[in-house]
Amino acid sequence: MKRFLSGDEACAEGVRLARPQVISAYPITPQTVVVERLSSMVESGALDAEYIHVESEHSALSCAIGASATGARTFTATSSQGLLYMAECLTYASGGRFPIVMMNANRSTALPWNIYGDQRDSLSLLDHGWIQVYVENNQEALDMALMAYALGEDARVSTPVMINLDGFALTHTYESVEIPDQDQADAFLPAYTTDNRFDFDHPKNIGYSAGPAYNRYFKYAEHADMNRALEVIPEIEERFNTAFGRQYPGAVEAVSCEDADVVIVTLGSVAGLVRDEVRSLREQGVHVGLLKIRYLRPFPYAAIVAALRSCKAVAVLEKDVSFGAEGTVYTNVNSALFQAGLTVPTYNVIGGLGGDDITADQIRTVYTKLGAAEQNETEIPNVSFLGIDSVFDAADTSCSISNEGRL
Amino acid sequence: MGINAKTISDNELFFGHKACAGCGGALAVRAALKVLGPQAIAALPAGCMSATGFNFPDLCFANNAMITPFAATASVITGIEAGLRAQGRKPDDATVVGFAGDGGTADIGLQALSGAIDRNDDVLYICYDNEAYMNTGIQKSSLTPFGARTTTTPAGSHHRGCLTQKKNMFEIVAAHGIPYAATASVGYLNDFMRKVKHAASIHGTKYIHVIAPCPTGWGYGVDATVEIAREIVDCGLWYLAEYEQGSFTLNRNPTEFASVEQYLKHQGRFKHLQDEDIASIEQQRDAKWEYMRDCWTAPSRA
Amino acid sequence: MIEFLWHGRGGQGAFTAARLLGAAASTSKGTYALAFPSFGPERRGAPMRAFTKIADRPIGDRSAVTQADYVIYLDETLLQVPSCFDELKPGGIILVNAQRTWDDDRIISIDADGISQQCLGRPFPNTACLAALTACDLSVSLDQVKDAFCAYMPKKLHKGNVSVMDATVQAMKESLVLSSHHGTLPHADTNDANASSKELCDAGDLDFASDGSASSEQVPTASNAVTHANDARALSSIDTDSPHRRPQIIPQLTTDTIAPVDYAHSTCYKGGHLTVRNAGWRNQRPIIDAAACTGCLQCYLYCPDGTIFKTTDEFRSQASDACAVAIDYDFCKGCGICAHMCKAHAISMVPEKEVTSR
Repeated sequence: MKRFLSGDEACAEGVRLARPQVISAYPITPQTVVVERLSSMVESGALDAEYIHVESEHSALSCAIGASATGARTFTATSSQGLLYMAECLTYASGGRFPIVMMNANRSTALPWNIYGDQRDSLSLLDHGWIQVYVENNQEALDMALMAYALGEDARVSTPVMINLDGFALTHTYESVEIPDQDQADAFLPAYTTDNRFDFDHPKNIGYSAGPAYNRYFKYAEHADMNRALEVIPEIEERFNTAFGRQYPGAVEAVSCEDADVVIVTLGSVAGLVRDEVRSLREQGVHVGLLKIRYLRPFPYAAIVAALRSCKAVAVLEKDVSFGAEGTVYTNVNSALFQAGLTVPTYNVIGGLGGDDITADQIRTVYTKLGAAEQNETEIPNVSFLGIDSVFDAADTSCSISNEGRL
Repeated sequence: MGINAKTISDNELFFGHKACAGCGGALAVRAALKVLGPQAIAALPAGCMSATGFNFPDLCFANNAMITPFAATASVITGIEAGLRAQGRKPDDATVVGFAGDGGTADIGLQALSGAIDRNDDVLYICYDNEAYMNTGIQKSSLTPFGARTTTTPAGSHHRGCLTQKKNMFEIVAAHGIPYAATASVGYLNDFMRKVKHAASIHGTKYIHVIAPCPTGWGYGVDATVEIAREIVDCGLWYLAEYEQGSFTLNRNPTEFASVEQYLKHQGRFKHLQDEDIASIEQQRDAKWEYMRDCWTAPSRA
Repeated sequence: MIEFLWHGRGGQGAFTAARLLGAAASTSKGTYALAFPSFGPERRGAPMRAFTKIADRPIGDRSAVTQADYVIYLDETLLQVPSCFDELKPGGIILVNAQRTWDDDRIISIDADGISQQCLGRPFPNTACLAALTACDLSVSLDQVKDAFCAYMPKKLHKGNVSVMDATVQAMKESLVLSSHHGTLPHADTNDANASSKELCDAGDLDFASDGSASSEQVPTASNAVTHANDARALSSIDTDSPHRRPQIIPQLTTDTIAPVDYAHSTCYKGGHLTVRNAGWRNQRPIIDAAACTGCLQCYLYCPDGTIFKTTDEFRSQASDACAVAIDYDFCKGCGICAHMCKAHAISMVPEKEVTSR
C-alpha cells in the first residue's frame, strides 16, 4: 500500500510491522510524531504492545533494557539532548547485548539551543557500542525498522541498533512510501528468541560487573560481534529484497565512483542532493561520484576503500564537527584510506549545522573546485565550514555571511 | 501464619556476596528474597549490593537478577514487568523487586521512582537506607541525618557533620497515592518481612523503606548491626509505619523513647556531637512524633 | 628498586601503612616512591593488598608487585606457608603480625596487635609493622616514618602511634639481642600498659575513617582474578551441599573452568555461581554450644550472609553434639551478629588463629 507519509510516520509504520512488545519513549522534537503514532496504534489495537510513559529518556532506555532482559522485542525513540541524556544507558544496552532498536531524529545539540537537524548528537556517541545506520529517505526509514531488528537480533550480532533520520529533512518531510503487509513483514522478521534473558527454570544473573581479568573478553566480543554485522547486513538485505522487492546496497552505496575523479562522501538525507548533482554533472561529462555511508558503525573500511581507490580527490560532507578537531566522519574515512595506503587528498566540508541548508550550488562547487584543484594545484584547506570560510561557497550563494561577518 | 524465623523459606537466594561483615543492607536483601521466593526477579543499581553481589564469575543471586544504571532501578523494573507481561511469561507468584540504597532512591533515582509510582507499575521497590553513599566511601546523601559525619560532611571546627535533615521519602512516596508504602528496620525483621509479604500480595507499585545500618560507615562494631537497627527505632529517630488506601498507620507507638544520646554515642559518625546538637535532634524527633500521633492512626502507646 | 607487598584485611590500615612508608621514603633527596592499593569489590574484612615501591629514580611501572623484597602480613591468618614464598624475591623477608614463630629464617614475627593494644588500647597492627620495617630495612629511618605519620595523619593520632613505633623498635632491638637470626619474636611487655582512654577513642578514628578507602568501590582488596589462587586450597575440597542442610535453593561453589567463548558474548550467566569462598575474611569464628542452643533461630534469621542454616532432623538424631542450626564456615565472615543475637549465649566467637592451631 502506498501512502504519503513523513519520515516519523514511516518509521512508526515500520516499527508497527516489526511487532515490538514493549515501547518506552519520552517526547522530544522532532521525534514526537513517531511516539504519537505508536501510541495511537497501541490504543487502537493495531499494535499489541505495552506502551510505557516514562518520565525521561534515561528511563526510556532503561525500561527497554529491563524489557529486553525478559526476551521482549523493544523500541524507543529520541533525539539530540534526549539521546545525550540517555547516553549512560547506551553502554548498558550494548554491553548487555540487548538488541533494542531506537530511532534517533538527528538534531543539533545545545548550546545555542536549536531544534533543527544536524548529526552532532549521534556522531558524538559512535563509541557507545550501537550499530548506527543513517537513512536517506522515508522508505528507507520504514524498511530499516524491519531490517534493524533482523540485524540486531541475529545471534551472531546481538547488538542494539540506532536508526538515524535527519530532523525535519526526513522526520517532518512527506513523501510517498510503500507500506508492506503484516504477513510479509512477519515472514521476513520472526519472533525474537534469545538465551540472553531471565529464565524461571534456570535463573540468570544479568548485567554484572567483571574485573580486569575478565572485562577485556566481554569488550572484545562486543567489538568482534559488531563487526560480524558487516557479514550479516548483505544476507538480510537479500532476504529483504526477496520479501519486499527492494534491494539495499550494503553498508555503503557507491554511485558512479568507478571512474570518478572527485567523490563526495556523505550520509543521511543530504545524499539525495549529492546524488542529483552527480547525475547532472555526469550528463555534462564530468566524472564525479557519491559514496553514501549507510552504516557508520560497524565502520565499513573495506567498502569505503574499494569505492575510493581510483579517485583523485575526496570530500567528506557532514553535518558535524568534533570541536577542536574536525568532522568525525572525516576522521574515520581518513583512517580507512591511510590503513589501505591510499594517498588521495581528502577535504572535510562541514555544513548543515543547526539546520542550515546545504545547497545544490555548494555541492556543485565542491565537485568543480576539487576537480580543478587537481590541475591548478590551488590551495584548498582540508577542513572548512560551508557558509563561513569554505572555498566551496560560490560568492553569489553566500547570502547570510558577509566578509565582515567572518569570525 | 506469621512470618518469622521458623516459617520463612530455607532458601538462601542472596549468598556468598562480598559485602562487609555485619552488613545491614545484605541482611535486608537476604530477608526480603526469603519472603519473595525463588520466582522473584531482582534489579539493583550501582551500589554496595550490586558491586558485592554480581562480580563475574561470582554471581550471588540464586534467583533471576540484574544490575541497572544507577538512576534507573524503577524504570528497569518497570521494563522487566512489562516485558514479562507482554510475552505472557510472568508467573503468578513472581514479584519484580528493585533494591536500591538511599542515594540510589532519594537522590539520583527519585525521578524514575516517581515515574513508576505515577504509572502504578506492578513492582516492589525496596530502599535499603544506610544513610550515605557507602559504596563510594561514605559520602552524604539526602537521607544522611543531621549531624552525621561523612567524608563529604566532615566534622570540624566550622561544621559538625551533615547540616541537612533526612529527606522524608516515606511521605514523598505516599503523596503519590501509591497503593502501599511502609517503613521498616533490619533490627525488626519479622515486621519487615511481614511488610514484604503484604506488599507482594498487592497489585500496583509498592515501596518499603528499610533502615539498614552500615558498620563501616556508621562507625560501630560489626556485631552490633541489629542492635543499632533496633536502637534507632526504640529511640524514635526512625518509626515503623504503613501507608495503604490513603491512610497512614503507625505500627509502634512507644510510651517512652530509649535514649537518643545513647544511640548516637554508639556510632563514630556522631561522636563529635555536642549537647545542643543532641537536644536539637531530640526536638526534631518530638515534633515528628507529635505530627504522626496527631495525623496518623496509631495504636495506643505501649 | 625495593618493593613491599602488604597483606591485610579491609579496614586494618594496610594501605595507610603502604602510603606512609612511601611518604617517608620520599623525604630523602633523590628517592622516589609509589604507594597504591589493589582495587576490587570486596569489602571491609576481605583480604586485601597494598604496595610500596621505593627507588633512586622515578618509577614508571605502576602495576602490582608480584614478588617483593618485603612481604608484610597484618593478619597472620592470611599467611599461607609455603605458597607465601612465591611472592618473595631471593633474600627477601616476610614480616607477620603474630605471637607465634615459624621455623624459617625468612619469616619474622612481630606482635603488632599486642604492641598496639598496649599503647592504644586497640589492636591496629599497621603502625607497628611500619616501624618494624625500619628495623629490617635501612632505606627508611624510624624518624622519617614518624615525620610522615605526623605530616599525613590527624594530629590526635600522633602521640599514641609514635609510642607504638618506639615500642616496636625497642621490642625488635631486644629480640635481636636475644637471638642472632631472623625468626625471633619481638614481644610487647604486657605489664607496661599505658594506653589512656583518650587514645582508645582516637584509635577508633583510625579504624573508622582516616583511611579514605575504608569502604568503597575503591576498597583495596586482594581479590582480582590473580588472587583466586589464594582460594585454591579452599576449592580443592568443596562441600557446600552439606547433608546436614535441609534441601534448599542456594548459590553453589564451583570449580568449573569457563572459557570466554562461553561467557563473553553477553552479560547473562547462570545465577548463584560462586568460585571463591569468604572464609578467608574471618578472624573470629562463631562456635555453637549445642547443649545451650534453644533452637530459637535468631542467629539464623539475622545472619547477613545466610551462613547459618537449619539442620535436618536426621542429622540431629545421629549426632550427639548437633542442634537446630549449623554454620557454613566456607562463607561465614565472622561478624558475630549471631553471637550477639543469641539470648542463650550458646554461640561464642573464637579467634581463628586459635582454632587453626588446635
